[in-house]
Amino acid sequence: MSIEKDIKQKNFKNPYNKVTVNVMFTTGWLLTKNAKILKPYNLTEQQYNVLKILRECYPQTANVNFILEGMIDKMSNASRLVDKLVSKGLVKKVKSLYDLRSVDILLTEEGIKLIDELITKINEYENSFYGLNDKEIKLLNVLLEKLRNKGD
Amino acid sequence: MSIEKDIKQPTFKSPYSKAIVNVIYTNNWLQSLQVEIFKPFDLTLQQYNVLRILRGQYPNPITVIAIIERMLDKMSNASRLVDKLLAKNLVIRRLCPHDRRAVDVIITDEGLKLLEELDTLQNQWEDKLHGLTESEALQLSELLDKLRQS
Repeated sequence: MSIEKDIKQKNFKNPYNKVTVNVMFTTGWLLTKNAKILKPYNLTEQQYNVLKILRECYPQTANVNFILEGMIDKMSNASRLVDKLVSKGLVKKVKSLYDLRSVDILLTEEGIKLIDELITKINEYENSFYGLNDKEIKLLNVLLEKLRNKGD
Repeated sequence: MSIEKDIKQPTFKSPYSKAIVNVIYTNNWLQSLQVEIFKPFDLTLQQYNVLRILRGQYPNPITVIAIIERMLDKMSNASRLVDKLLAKNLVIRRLCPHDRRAVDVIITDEGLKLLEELDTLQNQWEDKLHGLTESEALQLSELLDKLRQS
């Protein structure tokens, strides 16, 4: 469906306005789909993001700053997210090997099992619903990065 | 900057998973630019979205259900947003004459004035998006539409 129909707006002020609205709407659409997968596991998108980052560096540990650098949503409160995951038994805090005064985060066995299961589910589903071919997907990536170029 | 550098992830599983991360990251980037504009006015992005919808209908009223249909973020709680705007005197609410179970919302003069002020700032903000040409912006928009055709 076109963005005009999706949000019932016939005209846009200019192409920039239209693309901004479209990025925001598409994000909402993607997150709703993800949320449906995460809901039975009682996880938020941000908590999933943290688990995924920890999975990638496992068996190495990561500190909160490293996690934040890898997060998609830079406004997230990474230490609060970590605390939530600790209370769910999915991650644990350990002493950093390099700096004994600081704390690192590591996935628990339960955490690894959960994130592996989720990654498989999300993969299957990511590859299933796209109306774009490989070439178009690449172009989409190029254009999104170009969009962010000037403002950075 | 490339998404790989932005989130320090050197490789992605597939161009699809890269595209998802890229869309969401770009959205957050756009929002953080907008939050800076709205902050001095004590307005959230969603409240701004509701005001814009109401201006689109002005001088006609619109029901809360119709507002939701037009919102960018379908997860937002539109009636709560309307309550917030009501408290700021930016909108008024009244019973819908055609359907007594529904409530109509109209933007006030104060609301219209605030939007005008924000329009100017929004235009300045849009300059930051000129890393893309106009035709590239349209092309990107078409790709996003196509992405959602599940």
